[in-house]
Amino acid sequence: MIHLALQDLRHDLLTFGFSVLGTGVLIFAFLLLIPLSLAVTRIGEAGGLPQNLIIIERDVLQPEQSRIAPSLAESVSSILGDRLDRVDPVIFRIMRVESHPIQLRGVAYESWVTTFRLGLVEGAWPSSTSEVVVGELAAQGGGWRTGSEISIYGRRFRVAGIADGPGTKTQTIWMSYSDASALFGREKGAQLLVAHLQPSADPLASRQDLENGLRSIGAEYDAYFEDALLREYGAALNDLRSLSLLTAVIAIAAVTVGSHNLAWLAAEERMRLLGVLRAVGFDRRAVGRYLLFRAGVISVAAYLLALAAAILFIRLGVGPKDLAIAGTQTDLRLSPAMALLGLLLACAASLAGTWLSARHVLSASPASLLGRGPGSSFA
Amino acid sequence: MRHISIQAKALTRTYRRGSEDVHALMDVTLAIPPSAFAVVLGPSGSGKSTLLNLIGGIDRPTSGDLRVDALELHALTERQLDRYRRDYVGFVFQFNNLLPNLDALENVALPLIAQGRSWAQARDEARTQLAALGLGSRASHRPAELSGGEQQRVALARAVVSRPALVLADEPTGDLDLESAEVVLDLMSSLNRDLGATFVIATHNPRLVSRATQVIELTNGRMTPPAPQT
Repeated sequence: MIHLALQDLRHDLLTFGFSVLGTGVLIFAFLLLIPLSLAVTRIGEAGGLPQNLIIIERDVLQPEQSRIAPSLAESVSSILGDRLDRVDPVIFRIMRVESHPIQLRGVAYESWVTTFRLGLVEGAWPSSTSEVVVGELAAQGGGWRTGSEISIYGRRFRVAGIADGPGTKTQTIWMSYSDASALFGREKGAQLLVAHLQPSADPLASRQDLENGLRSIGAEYDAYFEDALLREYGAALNDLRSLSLLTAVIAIAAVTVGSHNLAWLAAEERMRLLGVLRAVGFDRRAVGRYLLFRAGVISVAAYLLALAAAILFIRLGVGPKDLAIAGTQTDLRLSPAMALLGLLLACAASLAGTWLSARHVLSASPASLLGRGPGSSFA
Repeated sequence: MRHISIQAKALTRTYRRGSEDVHALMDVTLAIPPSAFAVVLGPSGSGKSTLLNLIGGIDRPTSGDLRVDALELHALTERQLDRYRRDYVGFVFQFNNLLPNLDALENVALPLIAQGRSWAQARDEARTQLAALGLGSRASHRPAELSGGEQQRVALARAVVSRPALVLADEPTGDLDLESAEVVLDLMSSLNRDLGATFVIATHNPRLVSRATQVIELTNGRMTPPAPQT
């Protein structure tokens, strides 16, 4: 039966090729959508800095929509007292810089190392108002290096250096607060306030006190730990994750339906062949094995094609190597476990689809497979 | 090889076509002795093929008894019918029904594969059978590369390669010219003599009658009574 199925496929290469291509596209979609879904999930799990409390306007979905009152820093200082190391207003924008989605942060230079624990990977810290530092992921995404000239919001800046910090999962460009304020307009102010606590301060108690204190003065702000904010932000991407998962499930379901249709067509086209096989002595199980093996070869070939395409797309940079959503790195990865899951699901879907379509053939008598009723011959 | 007889009693096969019942075979009673060369004669639609379907175990009677050797075909399960076809029966179809993607050798080897032989062993036996029917040089050709007569001889080789006790042929020469038809019929006659297998051949060609050891005539699904002796 295996020999027969292979001969059958070998002599019908065009149909075989289209079957492999059609199934392969769906498996390719699955192999991309599952990593995308997991990558979006990881955004919400990104680690932050436990000593940093981020104060943001209440009920805003995107940090860039928040507005911080100029007097808020003083209020935070007075509420936290000596538990506070320093407090920094942050200008926060998600924007395209030379077509790359970037998070731009404008923060006082003094806080870059102390509060945000940035470290230089190469180059130097900015020494003039026309210089910025680029995060490592942004440098990878944008192809920028120290000395590169980039245009931000219509103004040219020079990349003074490349920096990285703990918990950084986003493509970020850093500039001084005053430069950012001048760039976007002073009247727009800061979007976030970052309160950096003393190492001896209890973060949970500090947060509670800060929220109570802000409420008592009627200020409409929430305070998060930085990682919690990332999780909140990640939660906003839940729809995308759900959509990716749903589409991946649909892709596998489509493999089942596609395999069903392919097997149905193959069985319909080969009805007489199957009838002959039954007549010369092959039983139902042997005919079933022939159809399943044929479907198995198609699904494995389709899987290998899809896997190669997915690896090219993700790893070798044929597609967007580092897919970013609103400046947040999605970190697409196709792990061996995921690849194996794809193979198992593709084969299972294909065999299930084939089995569903083959039932009518397997339950038919050889005479009906041969199209034999009254008035017909063995023709 | 087993020499088998066939006995049918009140054999009936009715098909449902839309809301109408079509009586393809009605109340047929017959006996075919072992090693017979039986010819089933009748015009198109007379029930010849239906009778062969039932004897070959590729269809089931609506009513009546059908016994082949010690087997009561009407009472066999599907799996038992599969085994019956595999171990007892060889089929020759009108348009040969060779598998187009296999060469002649592989087509002939199929019944042996069904019986559990390896491809290598089945190929060896198939090669011997093809050579015996004068097709040794055509073994690696696909059906499309063979003439009609050659295709039918390959089909005949496939039918007898597993040495079945019963060979059923439905209009085996219906698609052949006279010369090719004679070659195929000669081969069938000699295989019947040499192998001792029972041959049942459905045809509307009365020329076959001269070769028959038994003639069964069907009209409108019923057996035609033999003409009275004068």
